[in-house]
Amino acid sequence: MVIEVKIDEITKKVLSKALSLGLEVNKTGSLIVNESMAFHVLSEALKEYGIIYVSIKEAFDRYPDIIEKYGLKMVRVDPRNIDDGVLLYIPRNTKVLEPIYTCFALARRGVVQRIYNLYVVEDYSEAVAAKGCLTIVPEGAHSGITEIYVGRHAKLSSIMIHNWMPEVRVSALARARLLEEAVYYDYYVNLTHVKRIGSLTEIYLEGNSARAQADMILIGRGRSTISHNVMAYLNAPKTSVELISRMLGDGESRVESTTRIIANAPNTRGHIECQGLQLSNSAVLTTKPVLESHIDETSLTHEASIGKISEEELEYLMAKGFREEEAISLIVRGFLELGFQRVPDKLKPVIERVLDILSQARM
Amino acid sequence: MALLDVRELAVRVDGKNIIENVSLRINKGEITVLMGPNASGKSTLLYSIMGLQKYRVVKGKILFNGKDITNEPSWKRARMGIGLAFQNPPKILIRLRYLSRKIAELHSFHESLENISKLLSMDQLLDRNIHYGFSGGESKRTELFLLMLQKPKLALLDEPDSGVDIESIRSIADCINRLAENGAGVLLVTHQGYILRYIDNLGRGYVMYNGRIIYEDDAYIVLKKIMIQGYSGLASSHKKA
Ligand SMILES: Nc1ncnc2c1ncn2[C@@H]1O[C@H](COP(=O)(O)OP(=O)(O)OP(=O)(O)O)[C@@H](O)[C@H]1O
Ligand SMILES: [Mg+2]
Repeated sequence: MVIEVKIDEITKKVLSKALSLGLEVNKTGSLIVNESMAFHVLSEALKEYGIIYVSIKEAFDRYPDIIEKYGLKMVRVDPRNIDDGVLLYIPRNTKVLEPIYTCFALARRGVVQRIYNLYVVEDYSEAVAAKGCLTIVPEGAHSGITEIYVGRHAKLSSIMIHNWMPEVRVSALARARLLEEAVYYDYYVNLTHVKRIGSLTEIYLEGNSARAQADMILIGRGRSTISHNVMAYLNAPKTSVELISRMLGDGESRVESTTRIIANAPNTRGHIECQGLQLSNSAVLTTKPVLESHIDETSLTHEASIGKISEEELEYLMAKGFREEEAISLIVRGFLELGFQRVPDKLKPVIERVLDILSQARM
Repeated sequence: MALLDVRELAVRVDGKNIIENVSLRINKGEITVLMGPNASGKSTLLYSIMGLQKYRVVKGKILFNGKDITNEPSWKRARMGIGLAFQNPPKILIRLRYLSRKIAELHSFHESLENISKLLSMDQLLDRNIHYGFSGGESKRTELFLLMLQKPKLALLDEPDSGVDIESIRSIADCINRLAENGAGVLLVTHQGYILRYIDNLGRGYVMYNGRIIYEDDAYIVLKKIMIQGYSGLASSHKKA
């Protein structure tokens, strides 16, 4: 399906950039440019299933009951300070396997975009959300707040791709609440230079046997400063979480990954894995895995390592015909791919695209 | 003109002289055999022909198709048609399937990978990271597989048969024969010599000892001599170079 709405030149430009990242917002999805939603597409079929996917502004007017029940519960935000955002609501017993794409774009120099999103996946339902942030102007700011609610036996996979420019500042806060047997996958990757990204994701596993997993790829390039924080609270028995991060340090970037698991309930499991690949002597990589236990019946583990590309691997690939830069790209790609091994099939094409972009760009 | 002409080569690695005064020629379509005891410098010679950075040629030169390649980097030599199957390849976090595709692309290998993949039983390995947890034989087959995708004019095979079961040795020999049939010159390092009974177009054989070539003859005569006299016997009776 192709979008039928009339769009202006700027939106066109943003749309083509979104598509180049594999974010097919023109199939099922939406585009938020600067302070407001430029368009959104949701098939009639999905609407008939009771799926709601609208601008958050519209949601405040049309779906006050949903907002009342789920919105602004875990974060403190004055609705008057929100520019826009999306509400995705999947009713009970509904599985949507096609990804729903959302793209946030900065298209005016100096713009400050304030976003609030609400994702609700009701009991026994399933959804895949692919989100991208991008800019077509060199300077601006994006502040995003997202609340996520995953009901009993429900499942949400969410991927976030950041594609900013060197003078853009970003802050992102996401809080997710998981009920009994809920499953939440969170994938994050940033593709480009950015001035500063500060992000915090908090996952609250509140229902028995809920599971979560966060995989992040943090690319430090140029003079970027990236601080990525993920915290998981194992608040119910038999909950488990895995936090996996891959960091790449190039240029004069600073990348810091803090991952923390807090175990408050028995029979819980948590694992943290951080790996850094240092491509430049002027980059600084920091990894801080933190395990915090408040009870004795939990198993928490972590592994962390930072290294550089081995000469032997380079020599080997060069003997097969690759120039040094090509060999580095191959190694980097392999390293990053490892961070995305468990991405759901529907998102594989997006990941392939991302990996290609990452490994083609000169490191 | 020989395909490869190594003339009076001396090679230094990390400040240590490993190879002295080595000369050797390889012809198109022929399989040349290189034997010698452990640490005699066989791998070092292959790395030097491939042009790995650490292996500094301090004397002599390497001609490939008449062109002096002594100072060319390894990736250029690879693109000219020289390929090396490593004795001990490093493990790398790259999917074998992805790397195979990239190598095939690079060397304009347009056939489907399936035939070669089947011949070398690669199926189970393609979706794994290269050489990660591969058994000895699997690594050998993988190296040969990747080499085939390079469509080499000169194939340097560093002990492709070591630690390989008898059946797999036959398919490895089949591959080597196929390379030679397609006109490639092959330099084969082997300890056992068992593989040679399946090799069709056997050419010269060289024996290395202490970084030097001490004996050269038809490959099967070389093999016989080694069986009878042993390397040290050969070394004391043939003070060549
Ligand atoms: N980087 C290095 N620094 C010091 N010595 C080295 C280095 N590389 C190789 N050598 C030495 O050079 C000698 C020849 O090694 P090489 O690997 O070429 O032997 P080889 O004939 O292939 O032996 P094998 O049959 O065991 O494979 C050995 O003594 C080895 O230790
Ligand atoms: Mg050797």
